[in-house]
Amino acid sequence: MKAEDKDREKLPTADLNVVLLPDAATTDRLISLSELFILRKVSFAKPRKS
Amino acid sequence: MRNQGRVEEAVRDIAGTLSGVDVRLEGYSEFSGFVFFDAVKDEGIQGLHDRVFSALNEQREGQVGDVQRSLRGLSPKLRANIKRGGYIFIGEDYSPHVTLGYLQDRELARRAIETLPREPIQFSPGSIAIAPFAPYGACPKPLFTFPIGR
Repeated sequence: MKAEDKDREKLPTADLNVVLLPDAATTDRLISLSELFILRKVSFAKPRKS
Repeated sequence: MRNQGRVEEAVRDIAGTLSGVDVRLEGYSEFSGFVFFDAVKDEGIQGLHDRVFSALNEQREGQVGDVQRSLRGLSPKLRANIKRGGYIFIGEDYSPHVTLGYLQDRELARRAIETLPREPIQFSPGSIAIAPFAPYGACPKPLFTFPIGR
């Protein structure tokens, strides 16, 4: 058995989610939004020193 | 994963008989530090959720995942949802969304949301996947993928 398959066997079923997958272009847009959110939250969390 | 064969078979069946699912994402919300891009909850999406829940809830054999266990300050109803279905947003409380990120400081999360673009995003998903939760609620690495309508 491959190592990847063994890792899958160990996963708790309750930690899995069933998700709808968008097309590649939509996925890219959503990743950009997520990155934008991360950038914004970092900029809020660490305000510039004056 | 326990009951892997049954889980895969159930999701493959659902994907194969599904058609005409459209998802419209519009508006953001924050829940316990998680930031969601919310999907419109129409009959199609709710019906799909209900089918998946009915087919899979037994297969978790009462287990509750780490992300759900880590949630604090939940209402009695949402706590009951976790006990009954292993997840906070089930049944009438189902809240379709894409998780964009997580921030411990909820006020900062809300401020960050205010800076995000307001344009809705609409798409027709081509497949359904089974994916593990990453630490901050997103599901970036699908394990199994099943095409819709085939």
